[in-house]
Amino acid sequence: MELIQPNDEVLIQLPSETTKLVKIVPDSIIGLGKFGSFPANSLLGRPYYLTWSILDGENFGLEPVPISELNSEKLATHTIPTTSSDPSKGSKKSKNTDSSTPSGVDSPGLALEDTAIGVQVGDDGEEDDEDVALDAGMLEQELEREQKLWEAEMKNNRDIRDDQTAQSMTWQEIEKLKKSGGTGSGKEIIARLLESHAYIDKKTAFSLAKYTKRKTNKYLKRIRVIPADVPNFTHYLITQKEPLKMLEIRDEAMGLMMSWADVKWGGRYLVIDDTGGLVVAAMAERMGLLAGEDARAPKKVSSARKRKRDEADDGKDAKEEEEGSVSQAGSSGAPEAPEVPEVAQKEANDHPYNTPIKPKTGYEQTTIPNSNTITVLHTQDQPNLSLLRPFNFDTANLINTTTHPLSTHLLSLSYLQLLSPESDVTLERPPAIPEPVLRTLKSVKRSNYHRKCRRQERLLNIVASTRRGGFDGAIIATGMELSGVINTVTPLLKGSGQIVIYSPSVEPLSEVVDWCSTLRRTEFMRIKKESETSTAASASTQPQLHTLDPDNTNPDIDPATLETLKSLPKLPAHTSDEYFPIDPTNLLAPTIHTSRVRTFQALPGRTHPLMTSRGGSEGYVLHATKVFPILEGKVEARGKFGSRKKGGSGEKSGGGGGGKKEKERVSTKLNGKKEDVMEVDNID
Amino acid sequence: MAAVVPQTASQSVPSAPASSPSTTTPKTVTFADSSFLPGPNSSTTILPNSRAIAHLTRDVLQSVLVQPTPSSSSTSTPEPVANLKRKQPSSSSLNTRFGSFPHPSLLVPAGSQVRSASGTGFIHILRPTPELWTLSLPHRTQVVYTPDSSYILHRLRVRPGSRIIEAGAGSGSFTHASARAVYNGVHENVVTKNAATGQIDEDSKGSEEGTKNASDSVPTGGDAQIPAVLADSQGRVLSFEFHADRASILRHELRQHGLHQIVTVTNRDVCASGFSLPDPELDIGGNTYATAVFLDLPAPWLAIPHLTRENGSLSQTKAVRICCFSPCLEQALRTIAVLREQGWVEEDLVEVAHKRLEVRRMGPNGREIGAKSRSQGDDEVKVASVEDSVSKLKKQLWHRKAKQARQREKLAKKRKLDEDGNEEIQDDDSDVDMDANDDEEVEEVPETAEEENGNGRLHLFNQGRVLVRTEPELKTHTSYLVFAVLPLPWTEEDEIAAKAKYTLPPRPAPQVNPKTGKDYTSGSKAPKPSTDGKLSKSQEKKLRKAQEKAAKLASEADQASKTEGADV
Repeated sequence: MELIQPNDEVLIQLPSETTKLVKIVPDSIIGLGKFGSFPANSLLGRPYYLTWSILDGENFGLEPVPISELNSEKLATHTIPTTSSDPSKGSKKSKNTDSSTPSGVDSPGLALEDTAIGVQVGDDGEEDDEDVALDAGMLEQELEREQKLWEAEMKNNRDIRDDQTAQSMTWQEIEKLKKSGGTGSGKEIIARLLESHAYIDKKTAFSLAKYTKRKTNKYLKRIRVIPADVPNFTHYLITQKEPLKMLEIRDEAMGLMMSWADVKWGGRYLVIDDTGGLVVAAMAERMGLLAGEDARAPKKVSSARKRKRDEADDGKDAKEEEEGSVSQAGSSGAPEAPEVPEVAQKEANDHPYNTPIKPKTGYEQTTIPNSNTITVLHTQDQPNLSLLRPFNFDTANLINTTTHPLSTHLLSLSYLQLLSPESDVTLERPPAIPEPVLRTLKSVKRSNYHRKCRRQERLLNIVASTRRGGFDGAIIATGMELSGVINTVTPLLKGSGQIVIYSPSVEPLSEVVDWCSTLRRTEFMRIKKESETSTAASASTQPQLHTLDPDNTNPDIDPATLETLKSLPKLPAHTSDEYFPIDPTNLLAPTIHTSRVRTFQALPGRTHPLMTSRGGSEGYVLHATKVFPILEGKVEARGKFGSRKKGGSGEKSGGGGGGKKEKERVSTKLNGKKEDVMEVDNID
Repeated sequence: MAAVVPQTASQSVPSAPASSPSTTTPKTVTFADSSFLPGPNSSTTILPNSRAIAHLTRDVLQSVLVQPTPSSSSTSTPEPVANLKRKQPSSSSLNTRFGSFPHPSLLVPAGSQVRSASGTGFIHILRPTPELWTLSLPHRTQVVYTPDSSYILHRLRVRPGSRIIEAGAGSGSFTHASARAVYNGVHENVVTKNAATGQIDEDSKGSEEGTKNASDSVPTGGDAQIPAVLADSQGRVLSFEFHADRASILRHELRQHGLHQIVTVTNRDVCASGFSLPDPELDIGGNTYATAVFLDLPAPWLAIPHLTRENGSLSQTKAVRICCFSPCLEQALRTIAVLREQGWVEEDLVEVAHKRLEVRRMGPNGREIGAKSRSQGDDEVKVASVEDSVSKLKKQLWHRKAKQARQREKLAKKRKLDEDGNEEIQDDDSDVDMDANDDEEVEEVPETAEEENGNGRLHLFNQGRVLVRTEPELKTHTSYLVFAVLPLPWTEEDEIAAKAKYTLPPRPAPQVNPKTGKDYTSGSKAPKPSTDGKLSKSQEKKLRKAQEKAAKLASEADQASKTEGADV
């Protein structure tokens, strides 16, 4: 059952239409400011999405509000304009009946056929017409009824004076009622308020509904608890926290990013996430690394682990010893030692989708899974993933989250560790401690030593696997200069892999598209070909590679590690210049999307888009596909353009190099002309 | 020392038993043999008999089922319905407007540029994704495009292992997107009957053991309330389509794409007969137990009453989310009314407005670089700036003056000649005209895209500035989306049970601020409980400050009055 569990972070929707992120700590009291407070235990074990009223006084706690009551309130507001008069009831009836009658019971298929699809099947034409006629009749009736209604009670606010005298109920009375407590107090207040309002019968039904709703929000302390999943959490962050910190990513942009990046279970993805972990969270959700019981387990297990550690204090845990010795042997650089992890790795490779779960006795696992992983590239020593906390994954407290799926499947490394791991500090191994000495050490020191060894080993594995490339996609949400990021990320993608970049403003993305423009690409290819043919320049145009920098190598990295680093695949590097900030041949069809959701107030007779909504960034998503260009020979598409020229300009031409070339010449001509003109001018 | 894993390792050993990372209980996992999904066969190269997408231009994508050899096309299963509008693709090569590409030439690493048989054109061959498929699929109905489907799947929380009902499968665009979303590596091979060919999935027999293991591994025996099928952790798409031909074509496509084990297509009118599954088709029984529902129906309000927990169509243990996709506002409102009647909450009516942006470069002459000139006034040289305009006009003036001067000169000459009575008048005239033309129109035109410009190359593509605008053809409305959530039922007995499980702690004594009479019991703002009626330190400080201030003010006032007195 999907129930609220102890220590879950949930979002509470308050009557003020704001949300609050609350951790449900057992036996605590949750305060909601002016809306009162309630014991946390009255939420535990209850399902989400229920509405509760906060009870004060003797039966301090929460009381569920039946959904039927909630919805009937809404449905009642639907029908308020008609409740007083006769036609109203008729209309309600007719509405009910026609929702179930002609199209429904008799010929349910027909309704399917005509509307959404927009295809009318010939045979059913007649009945369709009938259906339409019925609908039209209904509509006419409704219009007529409405007309009558308006004529009958042409209510408006002409006679309503906007002053304080309208409401005769005093605040003292309200306070008194409030004090009396109980379930009914709020309702009573509202009823009395309506009763004692001077102009209540002069209000139109709609304005009455609005008034009632306002008062309901104020006096009925109703809350709804919703889970802090990614969409809800995003909404909370963007409306109530600091949206700039998460780059104002809306749900619609997030959906586009996840879809275009082809994020799915089993894939390997690179992420550059300046949103504090929100993008990672969304990806993890799509990859099954967030939801489920596992994510919640850590608390229990951590206590189990604690016990285990206590045991280890007395007598040493056999497994830990074993694993410790492995890493210890590795650290000493003995030639036969590396075999053990190698075997483990090999095993993992044989079953690529088998996530090797080693006995979890240490700080982290050293081997890393080959699939369903998220690799975070970060600029600092540590990635900022603080927004993963509501999803029970706390990067600051990794020891307690080892059972979270993310603890194995979230890999992180810095740009330094990726591009020149030889100058990194974290790849230093702690000075080897021989086995006999290790035995004499205190358990804390010993486990610290093992942890350091394992951490180094894990990082080395992460560096190796990342540099090996073959990622299914990359998601970039950063304020950094994009050319460098793209140059780093693109070589690591596999062919046809997707690269998706989010930006709160369009300019950085339009620049990227411009870097890949057809003209620029053609020129890039031409220069490349030219330099290839001329032998003299060949040395400078060899594909640049990131190589180990002997001058900047960290002297404290042990030889074995260095050897591994040397054996790592070389990363191709594009030397960006003013004209070609990125290699324009690697990215196919970069396209910028922007999407915006418009929310409506959905009440019959009063349906309209919401009057206000959050402004700020629209949110732009660029996606492109990693491709391999043909390097040798002429690479110019020459399609059948003859017919198109005659045919008309309706058809868009994208990659048609032949057509492009002509255009290019035309514009060059114009351009040249202009330049000449300028020169003449200068002479003058 | 850390072993370096060879890159090719990921392709070896298909269908190895492995544990899914998202579930704690080990399960037998077989992988979908699909180019849409990760797995042993989603290798980096395009494989025979798999789907690939040919990228011609940004907007023109062609899907192709790559055949290993030209002759082997007969072995593949024939189209279930041959008479559909769909063009029968050529079996031996892919024909595009950039040329013809024989299928064997398409068996390349995904993302490669491929040259046509004639060597003049090229295309890119891509691995299919639901997005690319959406852009290249044969349209049978209106398609749910990526901006909508991505948002819907995000809001419906469709995750690996989810079960989603999709009614009105249509062209299968949303089907593919949701199949990717629910896929979690676990799937017992479903005995699916291909309606047209009558084939039974061969894999199904082999994996029966796996099925049993999977369901056995979860203790479900004595628990009558939770049916055993709920233990089935496989993500599934339960797709309904009332049009028989469309349903069978979709089934055929899904089989081609290797997604048939994740998607169950049922030919059914859900408005009339609900969402139960025909028994033999699926070993999860006749119930769908979905956690997400997507209705792309003309009258979703007729189908919604069939969605209940009681009849097994909705999940028994989780909140269920729904999205109804209706083009008209009237449909959406009716849907909302029915949803409210049926006890759904959090109803939300939205519309997704999506735009694609074009990026161009505006050259220094005020003309878009690389843009097709749409207007007729193409010859008009645009002017980039005021200075430019002024200088140009100035130049024209000088030209005119020069011309006039020349003409005057010529005229004078002519007159002189006339006087002389020479005959070469007309030739001279034409010379005059030609001179003028030379000055004004014939100018040197560089042939290449750049020209030497003293300090370096002047690249056309790097001139001017970058422009962004909305693409010319815009989908301004696709549909209204109605979202809602059905919470788990919560009865009074449940509430009592939960109260017994999580007993309320005794209510703390109300902490009332003695001064204001405010109750601070709940809020965090409550001042620390003062032990013996004394004020807390901060309060003391405040009080002291206030007193000091008051004293100061008093003394100032005193002084003021004194000085006043002195003045007076």
